[in-house]
Amino acid sequence: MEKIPLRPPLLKGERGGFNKFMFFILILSIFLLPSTAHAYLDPGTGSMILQIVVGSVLAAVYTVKVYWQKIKAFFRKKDPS
Amino acid sequence: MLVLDPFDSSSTSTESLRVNSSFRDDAGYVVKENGVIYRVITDKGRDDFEAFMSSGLYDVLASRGLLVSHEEIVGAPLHGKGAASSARTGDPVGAPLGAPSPHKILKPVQIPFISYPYEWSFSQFKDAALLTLDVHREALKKNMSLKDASFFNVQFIGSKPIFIDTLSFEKREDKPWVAYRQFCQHFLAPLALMSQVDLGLNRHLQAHIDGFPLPLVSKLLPFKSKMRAGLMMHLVMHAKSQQKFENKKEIKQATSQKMNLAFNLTRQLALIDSLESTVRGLKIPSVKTEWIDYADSNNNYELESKNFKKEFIEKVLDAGVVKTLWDLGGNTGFFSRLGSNRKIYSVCFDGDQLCVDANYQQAKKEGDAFMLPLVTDLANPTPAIGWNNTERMSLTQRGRADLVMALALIHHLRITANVPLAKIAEFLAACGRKLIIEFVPKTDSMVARLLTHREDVFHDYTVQHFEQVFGAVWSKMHKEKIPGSERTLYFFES
Repeated sequence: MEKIPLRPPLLKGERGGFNKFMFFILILSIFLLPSTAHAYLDPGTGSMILQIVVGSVLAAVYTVKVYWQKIKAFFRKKDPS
Repeated sequence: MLVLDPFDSSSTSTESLRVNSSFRDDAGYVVKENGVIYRVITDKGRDDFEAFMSSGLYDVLASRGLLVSHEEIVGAPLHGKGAASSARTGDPVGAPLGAPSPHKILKPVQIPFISYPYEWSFSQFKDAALLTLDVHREALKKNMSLKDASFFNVQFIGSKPIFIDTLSFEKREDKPWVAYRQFCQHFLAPLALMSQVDLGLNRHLQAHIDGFPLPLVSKLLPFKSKMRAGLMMHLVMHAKSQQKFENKKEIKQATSQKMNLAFNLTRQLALIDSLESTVRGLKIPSVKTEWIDYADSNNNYELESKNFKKEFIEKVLDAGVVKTLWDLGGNTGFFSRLGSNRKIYSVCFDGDQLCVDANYQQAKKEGDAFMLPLVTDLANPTPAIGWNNTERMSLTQRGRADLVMALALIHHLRITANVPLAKIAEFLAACGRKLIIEFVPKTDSMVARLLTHREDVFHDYTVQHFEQVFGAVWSKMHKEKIPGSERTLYFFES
């Protein structure tokens, strides 16, 4: 299967705005990581950073989803059937 | 609940043995005494365990059937001289070297047969993943957190998955999920590969005992699978993030400094929700395998002979001494159900993923607590793996069953896999004490098919030689010819 490029290929030396932004977020998030390290299970630095990076987006989606379910439940209750 | 004791001989049954897979967590360890599993909690595990109990989480998980329930061993003497009894008295002898001193001993509900993720069908794997997320969500609600999302912490009691590690919980803090990487490697990655690449790929977990490395999964997944939001985030980006940061010294130093970020409860719940919908979105691919229509297709299982076999098996089962049954090459479990319906714990092995999955789906629908379908290649059965090759048991180490059934199997072992009859007898004797086996002669149409394109070098494959070889292993033999076929059904015992 042929791969479809998501955006035009970068020129030599060009970093790309999206990449720069993500890199900035990732680097920033390193300094916001919690300190306690688990001796028993290695959580993995990359895994911790990823959670922090995607955490707020997931939380927003989740919040909308929960409210949407509440709204649906509200109207279902009003339905006489 | 009955236990299949891998250390079956009575000489070892009075001593307790620390279970070989139990040495990583200093909060506790597992011992086996007189064939019964106990969990010892050390002083290191005390706080989290007491928080787990007092938070009400244990009650919720046990009452919902998500976690094995347990009783605390208080005062009751354990007879052995091993770890469980020494732990109870505070004597460090028998405890793992350097282990913290014991706090409590639990006797959990016993698991009749230990199975491994590389033996599960797709739906079993998926249910085990959803169970793990469910357990973690319940924990968060009680201000606790699941610290260990290993696939080895899930077992099946019949068709029902259950979490077995009572010590996998800690107090919740506002920080990222410590077991996120583990969950992705142990559950999401294998499920994605099974669903998107090939159903049999979980078998390769025998080589990757800590789950599939995410960069490997990233390489194997097709482009269009990577474009699914959940897989993109939790596998592809996750792998990239690992590769980017894992080996950079300065980042490790940076993370070890005092820093704080509130990864609050909402984010933690959102993460589970995202993982759950990603798992739910993975479906079993619509493929046809060689054996899935076997039971209904046009072969020698005409109704008459099927009923004959059924009655033959029922006679053996109704004699009442069989408590555990292994059905080797059991397809979708038609004959295993004769056992599970009689409350005989029946493990039905087949090499075909779809057959095992169909069997599991049916058992699940019926709420069958005595039927455990598993995938294994009998020509190359599950090996013992892990540290020192003793952490996870081989197939035969988990025997012996009271009864083994090998119906319409021997010609595949002798001809397809090219294993001599004497070696087949040796393997079957290692699996079980009694044996029901169907002999399928060369004149049978199915065997003729196997021989179509190969030279017949199987000169020992005759009914006389079969009886001679198997008769040497088991002292008693009872046989009946299956009507309407060339086949014979045998019951062997000693």
